[in-house]
Amino acid sequence: MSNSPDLSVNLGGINFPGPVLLASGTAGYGEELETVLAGGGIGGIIVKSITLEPRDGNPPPRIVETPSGMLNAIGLANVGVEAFIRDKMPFLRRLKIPVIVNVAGFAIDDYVETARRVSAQEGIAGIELNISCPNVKKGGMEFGVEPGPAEEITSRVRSVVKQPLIVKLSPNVTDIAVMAQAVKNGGADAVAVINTYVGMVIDIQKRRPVLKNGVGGLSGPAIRPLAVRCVWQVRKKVDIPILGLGGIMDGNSAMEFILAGASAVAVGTGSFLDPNMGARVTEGIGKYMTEAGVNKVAELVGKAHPVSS
Amino acid sequence: MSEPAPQPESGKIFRKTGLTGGEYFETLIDAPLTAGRSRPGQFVHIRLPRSSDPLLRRPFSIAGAENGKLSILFKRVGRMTAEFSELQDGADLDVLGPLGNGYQLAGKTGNAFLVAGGYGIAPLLFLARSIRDKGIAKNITLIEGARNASQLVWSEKVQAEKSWLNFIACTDDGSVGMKGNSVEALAIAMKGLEADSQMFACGPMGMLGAMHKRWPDVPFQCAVENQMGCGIGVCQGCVLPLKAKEGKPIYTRICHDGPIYDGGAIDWDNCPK
Repeated sequence: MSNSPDLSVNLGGINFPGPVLLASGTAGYGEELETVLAGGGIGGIIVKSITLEPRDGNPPPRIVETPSGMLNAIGLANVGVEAFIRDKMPFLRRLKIPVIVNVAGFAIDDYVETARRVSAQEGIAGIELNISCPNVKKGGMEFGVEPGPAEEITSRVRSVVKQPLIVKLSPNVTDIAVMAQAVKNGGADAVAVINTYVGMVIDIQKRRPVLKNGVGGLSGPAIRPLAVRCVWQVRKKVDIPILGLGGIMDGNSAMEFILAGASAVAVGTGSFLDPNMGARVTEGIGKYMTEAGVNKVAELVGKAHPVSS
Repeated sequence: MSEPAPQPESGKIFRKTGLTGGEYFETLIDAPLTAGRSRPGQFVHIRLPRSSDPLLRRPFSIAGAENGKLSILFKRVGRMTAEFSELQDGADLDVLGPLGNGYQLAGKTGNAFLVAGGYGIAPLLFLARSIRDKGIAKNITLIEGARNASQLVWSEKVQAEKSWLNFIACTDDGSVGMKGNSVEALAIAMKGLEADSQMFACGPMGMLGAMHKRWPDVPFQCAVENQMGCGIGVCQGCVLPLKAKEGKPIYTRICHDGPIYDGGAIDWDNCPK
């Protein structure tokens, strides 16, 4: 019998060899991270948002650092679904880990068509629906802040997607558990908790926002306690598997998400500091499990919640 | 398809030297893997040990790479560079690089004009040596402009190379060298030689844009700087607008496709100011 714990996890029907995924928007289409992915320790990759048409993204400046975090307003820059399938899928198909494709749009029909075309590809383990992008003028987050539209778009996309469907939730809502319930009703297999918080930094010399877009999405360790709280709330109210993310920088911070109720976690901004962040976090989770004498990640999921009588 | 990024290297500060004015520092970093692959115009993305605030790495232009050591030159401008400047010799540094494309040295020219604004001198002495070693140009001239004498970094170091490198210093207040900015100094130095010259530069966007507008026909490679996220092309945070095609903007990733650009390709009017 091996001494090392079994790090594999299941999230909404997708089996991952490890509990740590690379979050959408922070891993591109995987190509630049080839050596990182080859090094092992990554459970899966979530590819940057794909839209029906190619997008240039927002004018710069697009990012600014904040205390223990950063704001980004990239604006869903991407090659579009056609070029994605033609130019990016061959590389992704060769990866030995599950590939999830994040799909975004501006109207329900965009989402449905993009998801349908991506889903028809071989080598895709799941679709992540982005209804929480704060950086585009219309669409994106519009669907992520009202339960009715969130349920509708989830159910429409669900009907054309054959793989498991993860819906990435916005924290910019009154009650995230209501949104989780809505997308569950729409047929989501799992939820990603959370996308970024809307924020702003002002340049006091120029007397205007630093980001050309004005607002951007806040990520990094600064939002970690907020994200852990969101995972906790969803876990408490809704029976749906959770992918936890928001400022994870090591095994211990990942464990907070798992104990709050996440079946798997993702690293995002942390990969910018250290391309090997994913592998390091996996190693840290393994160490925690060994010390706790636990053999499966699933045994720890939600264990910070009081046992109900 | 994009090139895979290199792995970070655990480096150590070999020697830190405070330069003129107390605001500028030259740091030699023991990082043999990175140093061995570095070319002029590339950069390293540096993280201070165990820091989550400041969070992101910072890009530094490579000012030299010899005997397993990287040289970088920086000014204390914010919290990260303040902390960096206080690290002692032997301190650990996480070095990701070399990143970016670097200056492209192809074709011969009569005159290479290298123009630095402020501590934009950083990659240019390294570049000048490379131009000399490759025999790209018959004459190499380095022009360094700064606000005043205390900001004219490395001028003595450059002067020591005068057997093969022409050096022109200029300051806005005239405290050292010619009174005026580096673009004005270039205009005097390059007069009549435009047809047989190439320009290379590193400095503020205003200076780079002015050089392109004044000499649109002289080949021009310039180093562009910007706040960066990942440094390896995945986050798309550090984009520069190139001249639009069919009315659509083209955003290029400075960290991955730059930081060295053909001055004629940049959409200067839409660059962040």
